[in-house]
Amino acid sequence: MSVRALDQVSFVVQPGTRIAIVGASGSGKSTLAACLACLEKPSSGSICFQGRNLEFLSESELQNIRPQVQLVFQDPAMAFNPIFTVLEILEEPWILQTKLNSEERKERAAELLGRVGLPRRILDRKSADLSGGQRQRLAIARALALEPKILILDEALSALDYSVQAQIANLLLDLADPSIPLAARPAVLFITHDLVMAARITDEIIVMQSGRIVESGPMREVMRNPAHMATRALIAGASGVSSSHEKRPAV
Amino acid sequence: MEPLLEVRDLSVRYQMRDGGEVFALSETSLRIESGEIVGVLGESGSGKSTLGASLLAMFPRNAAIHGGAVLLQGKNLLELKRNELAHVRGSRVSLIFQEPGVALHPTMRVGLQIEEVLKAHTSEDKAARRREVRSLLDSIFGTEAERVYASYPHQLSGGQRQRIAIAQAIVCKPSLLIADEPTASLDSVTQREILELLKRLQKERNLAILFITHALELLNGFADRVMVMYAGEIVEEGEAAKVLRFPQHPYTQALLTCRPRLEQIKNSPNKAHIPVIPGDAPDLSAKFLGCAFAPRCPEKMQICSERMPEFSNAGNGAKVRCFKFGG
Amino acid sequence: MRYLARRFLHAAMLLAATTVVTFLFTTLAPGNYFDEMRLNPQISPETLTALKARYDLDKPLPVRYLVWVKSLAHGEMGYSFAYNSPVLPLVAVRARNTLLLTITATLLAWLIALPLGVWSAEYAGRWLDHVITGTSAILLVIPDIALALGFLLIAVQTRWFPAGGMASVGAESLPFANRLWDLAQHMFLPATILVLIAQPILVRHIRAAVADVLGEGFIRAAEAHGIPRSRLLWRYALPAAANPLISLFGFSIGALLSGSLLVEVVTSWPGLGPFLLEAILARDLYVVIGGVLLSTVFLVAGNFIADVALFWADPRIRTE
Repeated sequence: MSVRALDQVSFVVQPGTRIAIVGASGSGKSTLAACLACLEKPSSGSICFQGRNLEFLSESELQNIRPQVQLVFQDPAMAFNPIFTVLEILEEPWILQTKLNSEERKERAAELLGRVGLPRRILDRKSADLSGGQRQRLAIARALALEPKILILDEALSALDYSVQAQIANLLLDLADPSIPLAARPAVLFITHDLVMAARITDEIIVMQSGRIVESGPMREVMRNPAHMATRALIAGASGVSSSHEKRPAV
Repeated sequence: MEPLLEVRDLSVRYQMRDGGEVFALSETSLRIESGEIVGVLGESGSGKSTLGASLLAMFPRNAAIHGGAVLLQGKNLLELKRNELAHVRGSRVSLIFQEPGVALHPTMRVGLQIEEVLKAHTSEDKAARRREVRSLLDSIFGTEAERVYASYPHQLSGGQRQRIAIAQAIVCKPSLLIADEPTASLDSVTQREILELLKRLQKERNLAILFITHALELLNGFADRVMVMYAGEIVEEGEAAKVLRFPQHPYTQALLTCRPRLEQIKNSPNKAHIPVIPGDAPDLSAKFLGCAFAPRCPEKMQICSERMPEFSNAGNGAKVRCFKFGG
Repeated sequence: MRYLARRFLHAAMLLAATTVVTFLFTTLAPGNYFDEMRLNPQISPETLTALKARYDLDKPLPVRYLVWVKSLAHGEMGYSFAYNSPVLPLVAVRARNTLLLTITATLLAWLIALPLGVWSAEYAGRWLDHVITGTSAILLVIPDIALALGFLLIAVQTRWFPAGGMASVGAESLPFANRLWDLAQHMFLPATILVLIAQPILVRHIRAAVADVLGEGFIRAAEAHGIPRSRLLWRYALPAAANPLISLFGFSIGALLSGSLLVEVVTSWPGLGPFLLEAILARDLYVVIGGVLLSTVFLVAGNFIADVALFWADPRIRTE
C-alpha cells in the first residue's frame, strides 16, 4: 500500500523571501522539506535549483548544490554527534572544503556563534551540555556556515519554551531582514504547525493538507480572508477556539 | 472543606553526576479541589514536571525530598511504601505525559494495555475488563473504537495515542488527572481536540485535572485556576482569566508578551523583534537568596535580592509573590 | 508473509552453499581414508585401487558432489569407510545423543539466565547486580576446558555423579523410569558444564536488553498507572526487550549440534562432536560431510526460527 505524501505540489521560492509552510501532521510538509534538501527523491515531478533540474545533475554537481540548501530540524537533542565539541561541529565543512588552518577556523566559528547570539566560550563544550535553545542556535549556526541560499526550518522552534522561541525568531527575522542585500540573505522556509509564529515572522504562506497545497498567498491576506477549510481550522486552533465551535451555525 | 489534594512546602533536589545539586522545587504549596482544572504554567526548569510527578510520588532515582508533604485526602503520599503507592497510582491519581508514542508499550495491543490497568486495580475477570474497555473506547473514539482497540501504537496517529493514554489514566475512575504537557507533540488542531476530551471528562466524572504546560494559550477557556512557576516556585496564582489577561507578577507579564497573538498579527503585522525576557534562564544549582526572577526583572528593587517575597494579594484577587505588592 | 518466504529462501541457499564449500574443503584436504592403508605392506596396491574405485574416490570432484547430492535426495548421506556402513544412521544416533544433552542444557541455561538477567537489570548498581555480574565475569574468564576439567575432577573425587559416558553398563535392561534416572545422572556433569559456559553471555545480554528497556517511557507510564513491579518486569519489560534476545536464542538453537564438542570429549559423552573429530582424523569423507551438513542445518534453522519468532513477536516487523 503506498501513500501519497506529496500530491502535485508546485511552488516557487524567490531569493531572500520568507515563506511559511503550515499544515496539520500528515499534511506532507516534512516530506517536502526533505525533498528540497535533497534528502529524498520525488517519485515524479521536478525540483529546480537556480534553473537546473536536480534530477539531471551528476553526483558531483549535487555536492555543490546541497550546501546551498540547509535544513534545521525539530529535535535539538539528536541533531549533533554527542562526542563532538561545538568547534568540531562547526568547522567540519571547512576542513573538507577550504584550506583554512585551525586558528582561522576557530575565529570563523566564534564569529558564526556571535551571529546566532552564542558566546565564544562554548566552543569547547559538547553539544549535550547545551540547553535546547542553545542547541537550536548552534544548528542554525552550522547551517549558516555554508552560506546557504535557502534555510529550511522544519518545526525547529516547536520544542522550545516561548521565551526562547522569541529569541530565535528574532534571530531569523534579522537573518532574513529585507534590508540585507540579496546576495547575503538566505530565503527562509519556515515549516510548522504553529500558525502564530509562522504568521509573525514570514511574509507568504502555503497551507498544506493531505499532501496537497490547498491555499497560498501573502500572509496578511490569507490570515484575514482564509479561503480553505484547512486554513480556517488552523486559524481556529491558534485563536484558542476549538474547531467544533466553528461548525455551530452563527445565531 | 478538605481539598482533594494538598501539597505543603515541598522541596525536591536532584543529585547530578558531577556532584552538584539542582533545586527543582523549593517549599512549594498548592491545593486542588475536586473537579477543578488547575493550569500550571512554566518553562523548562521551572519545576512544573517535578511538581506533577511528585503528586504521584514518582521521583527519579537521583531525586531527594527535602521536606514537605503531598496529602491526598489527608494521607501523605510521600510516606507510603512502594506497593501502597501502586494502589494509589492509576486508580486515585493518574498521570499522562508528553510523548504518547513513548508512553505506550510498543508490542502490546492498546486495548490490552488499558485492560492491564484495570487488572492491576480491580478483581474483574477478563471478559468484564474487556467490556469496560470497549465501552470506554466507544465513548472516546466513536466509530473507530473497534479498529483502535486491536491496534498497536505504531499504527495510530499521535492524537489517537494520546487518547489511549488518557483512557488508561481514567479507566479506574481516579479523582485527579495530572497531564504533563500532553499536547506538546501534537499539531494545533489535534491539541484542541484533546483539550475538549479532557473538558468533557471533567464534566462527566467530576475529574480534577492538573494541566502542566508552557503553552499559555491552551489554558484560556480551559483551566479554572492558573499557577505560574519560575525556578522551582509558584510566583503567581489565581483565576485563569485574571492571570492570563491581567498578569501581576513581572515574570508572568514578560512571559505573556513573548508569545505573539494572532489578532495582533492580523491587525498590524510588523517584523520588528518579538519582546523577549532579558537575561539567562535561572541557575538552579544553588538556593536563591532572594527572588529568583530578580536578575531579569525590569522592576527590580533592592529588597528583591535579599529575601524571597511571601504571597500577597494582588488587586484582582490573584496571589503574587512579589515585593511590588508587599511580601 | 513475503518477509518469511524471503528468509526461507535465504536459508535454503545458505544450506546449499555450505554443502558445496564443505565438500570442497574436505576433498581438498590432502590425503584420503586409504592413505593409512598404504603403509600396511599386507595390502596390495591393486586392492587399494579397487577400494578407491569402489568408493568413487578416483572420479573428479564435481562428479562426486553430484552423486552425493543425488543420494541425499534419496535420503542417504553417503557411506562411511571406517564403519563400512551408511552414514545417516551412524550420524543420526550420535546427533540424537548430542541433542539430548544440548537441548536440556540450553533450556536450563535460559531458564536460569532469564531471572538472573532481569533481576540484575532491575537492581542495577546494587548488591544483587554486583553479585550476578561478578560471578558472570569470573565464569567468562575461566577457559571452558578448565571449567570442564575442574568439574570432571570433582566428579571423580566425590563420586556424587558419574564422570563420563551416557549410560551405565547394562542400563538397557532397566525399566524406563530407571533408565531415565540413569540418563539424568550421566547428563548432570556435561549439562552443568555447558550451562555454566553459556551463563555469562546470556546473563549479560539479557541484563543489557532489559536495562535498556527499563529506561523507556512506557515503563514509567505503566508505573504511573500502578502496575505492580513484578508484572512490569515480566509482562512489560522482558517482552519489549525480546528482539535482541530472540536473535540470541536463534544462536543457541544453531549451536545445539555444534557447540558441545569440547564438553562431549572431556566427559566421554557419545555425541556428534567426538564422532566427527574421529572421522576428520581418519579422512572418513562422507561422515565428515554428513556431520557438517547436519550441524549447518541446525545453524541455518536456528537463524530462520529466530526470524520467524521475531516476525511473530514484534508487530512492527509484521506490519511493515
